[in-house]
Amino acid sequence: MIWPGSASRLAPAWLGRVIEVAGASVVYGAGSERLEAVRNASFGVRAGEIFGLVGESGCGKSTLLRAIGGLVPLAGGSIAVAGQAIGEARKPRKAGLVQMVFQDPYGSLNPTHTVDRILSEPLLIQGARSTDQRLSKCLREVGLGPEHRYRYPHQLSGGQRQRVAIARALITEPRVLLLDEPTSALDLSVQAEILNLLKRVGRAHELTMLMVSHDLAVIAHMCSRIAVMHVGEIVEMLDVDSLRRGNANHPYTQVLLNASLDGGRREDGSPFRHGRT
Amino acid sequence: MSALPLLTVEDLHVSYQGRSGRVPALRGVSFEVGQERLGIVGESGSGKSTIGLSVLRLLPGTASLAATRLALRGIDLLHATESALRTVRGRRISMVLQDPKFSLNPVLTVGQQIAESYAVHAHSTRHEAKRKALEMLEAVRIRDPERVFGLYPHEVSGGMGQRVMIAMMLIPEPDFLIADEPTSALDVTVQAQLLELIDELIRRRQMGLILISHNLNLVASFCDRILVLYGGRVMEMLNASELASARHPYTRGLLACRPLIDRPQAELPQLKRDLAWLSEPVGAGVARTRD
Amino acid sequence: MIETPIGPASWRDWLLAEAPQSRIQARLSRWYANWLALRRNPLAVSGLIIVLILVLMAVLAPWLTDRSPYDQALSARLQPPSSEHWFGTDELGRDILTRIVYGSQITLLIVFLVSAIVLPVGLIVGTMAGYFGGLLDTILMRITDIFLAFPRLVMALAFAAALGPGIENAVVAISITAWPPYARLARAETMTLRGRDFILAARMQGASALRILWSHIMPLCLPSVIVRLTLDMAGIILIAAGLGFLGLGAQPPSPEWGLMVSSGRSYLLDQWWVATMPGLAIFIVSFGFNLLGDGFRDVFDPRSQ
Repeated sequence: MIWPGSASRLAPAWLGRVIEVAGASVVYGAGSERLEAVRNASFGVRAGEIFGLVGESGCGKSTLLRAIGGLVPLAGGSIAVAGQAIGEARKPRKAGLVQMVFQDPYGSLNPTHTVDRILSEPLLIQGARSTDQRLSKCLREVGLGPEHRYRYPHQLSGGQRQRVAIARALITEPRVLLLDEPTSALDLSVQAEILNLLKRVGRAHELTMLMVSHDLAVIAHMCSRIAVMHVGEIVEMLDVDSLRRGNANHPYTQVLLNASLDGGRREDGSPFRHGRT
Repeated sequence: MSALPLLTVEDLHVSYQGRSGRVPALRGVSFEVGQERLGIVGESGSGKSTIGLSVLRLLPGTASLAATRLALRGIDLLHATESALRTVRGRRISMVLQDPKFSLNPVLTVGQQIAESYAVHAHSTRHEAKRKALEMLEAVRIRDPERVFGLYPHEVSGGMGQRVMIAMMLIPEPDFLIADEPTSALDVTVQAQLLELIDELIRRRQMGLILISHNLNLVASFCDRILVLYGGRVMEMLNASELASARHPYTRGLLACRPLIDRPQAELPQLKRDLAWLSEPVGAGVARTRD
Repeated sequence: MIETPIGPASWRDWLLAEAPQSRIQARLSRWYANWLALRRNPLAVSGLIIVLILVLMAVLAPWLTDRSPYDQALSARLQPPSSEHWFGTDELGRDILTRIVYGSQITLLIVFLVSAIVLPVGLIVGTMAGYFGGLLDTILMRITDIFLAFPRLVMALAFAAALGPGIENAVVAISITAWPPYARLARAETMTLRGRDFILAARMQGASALRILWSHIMPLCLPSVIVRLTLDMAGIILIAAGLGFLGLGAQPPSPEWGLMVSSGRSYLLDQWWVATMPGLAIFIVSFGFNLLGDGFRDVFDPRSQ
């Protein structure tokens, strides 16, 4: 069986998967306004893996991510993280095991809290008494320094805010990190820094990560396996090599791949500039 | 490609009024665009959106604008009066913005807004304007123009909203279009469709285009020339086909830090910003004449 | 060795430091930044000055005038404004200026007491209704609606009449009718904040609902509630004056401004100063609070950040 408290996170005896999603469904509204945001989603994520969830807006990928984080209730099916079914009462200790980094760097930080307060809150919730050491260490790890510690979010750049969000997610020493479009709102150069940081901390803390994005290039860079979602369902699962080669089985995946090439092509796949004088 | 420049911008300086003093947005930007597509690429804070607003003289009252020359086909935009500018906006240059949720009037139907755009410039009857609006809706490949005419902006999807925006902006038949991140708020598949539409309309009407975007890939595949903006200054101007052989370190840095689908990388190279780029003489790395 | 000067220059630098070194410094520099923003608005500053004058008048009343507000001098009744009595005397020969100065204490008392009741009640009811939703929301909001449905002055009158005349009862009566809009405001803000990412992040850390409400939601609701309160202040003062006018608030010989206007009513045509002076005081203070509230709103408006 799976023991959440095992000494090494990657104990070889543990054959199970860290995230296990089985037939999950999420439904919003009722009656005539009932919307099945996620329908019958099933997949598993192995320890230490970075798993990608792609699709266009409205496909349910963010909803599914939030369901795994326990933020949105399931209408059917089950989700288990590190052996614990989501939906059971989450005590602070256990709650710290799954953390999330959100898309909007500004919206994910309380504008009236300093970085110091944002990072010490999770520790205080868990009952830690001294926060100073762990806080400084965490800040250093995400590439920030003591000069950032007492600033407010509006005094930080987008990239720095996202670093704070990552630090906040890491400070409780989670096993699983959920990433909801963590770099979509960032500039290209800042995105590169943040993606590098995520890979680095993932390795350093032996994290299992689940990343949602609409950007196939980012997903291909980060993930080893990918699930493609369309209108609430997982239409295909593929590994990154197949993605890179453009080997897709499902027609929708192929459509996505085509549209993502080179930043833009016509619907038939031909480039724009070609054939013009 | 026409050899005559449609739009000329020379030594443009723009600054905004911030909380504690003036904040420079553009510092000596110069370029010329003919009947072709110029892509302006930059990160946030580079001033790229300010260029579009400056050309159309739509900056807020507290902003200050100065330039040696700002002209559209001989019409002096720099010293023109507000009433003269009103005849230029829409009729000669138009602008499409990023998110139709914010750029369309929520209390008027989509059709009314397109018709208004026509009526204002053509001084036509309402009936005539409606007819033209329906024609335009068809031209932007909306399948059911009569039905869509009566919809409100919140009832149309993002992609359709952008088409409506394009219809509204192209109905007065301007010579020049500025598109500021027209596809950034859209899904990737819808982006492709919209770009095709813009491509076709620009070509058929023989218009010039400035495409402002943070997406280097997009600009490289869609435009003829690329202008790279950083800190309100032009870093480099080059032909899109020669992007891979860009010379300026900022451009090279941007190119290098893109994750590529087809090539695995352990770590993405990081852009090292050099403050020297902000104070180099404007001529360095900028092509004034097109070759 | 050059001694580092401890003067205004370095305080200002400390407050505007880009990299604060402690929680206190960070909080103070935020307040300082807000203060600077407020200072830029001349109308808001005028409002602030008026409110400060009110406070100073109330606090320093015994030192500002050596007369007593209750000293009658029947031989000097209804004297027009003169060098002896700057605002004239009322029907019992009392110096009106002195009574206005002492009346400011009552006005201030009413303002503070009502705020102290209305703000917490409105915040608690509103944030709980907004955060938990469902049945609790419905119950709390229906209670709020009930209180909101009554016209404020009529309700205040009814309570004052039932509880008996007097300042304390007037305060209770006003508070009972004043809290509902704040609950609704707090609820609306809470409902927007509820789905924000940082709240979700707090939930993922295992924060209890209480912690989320206390640490995140209430502080964020505070600015709009405070703005509303300062704008409402004028109304509260006027209702208190109205109650005084009708004899249900302060009782004679208290120098409450509304009561002064009421007793000066009969002399309005010939001895206009008896009612007009306290009336002007009410007007100026209400106006001052309005300007201040507007100024606060501009400072706290997230769009201007």
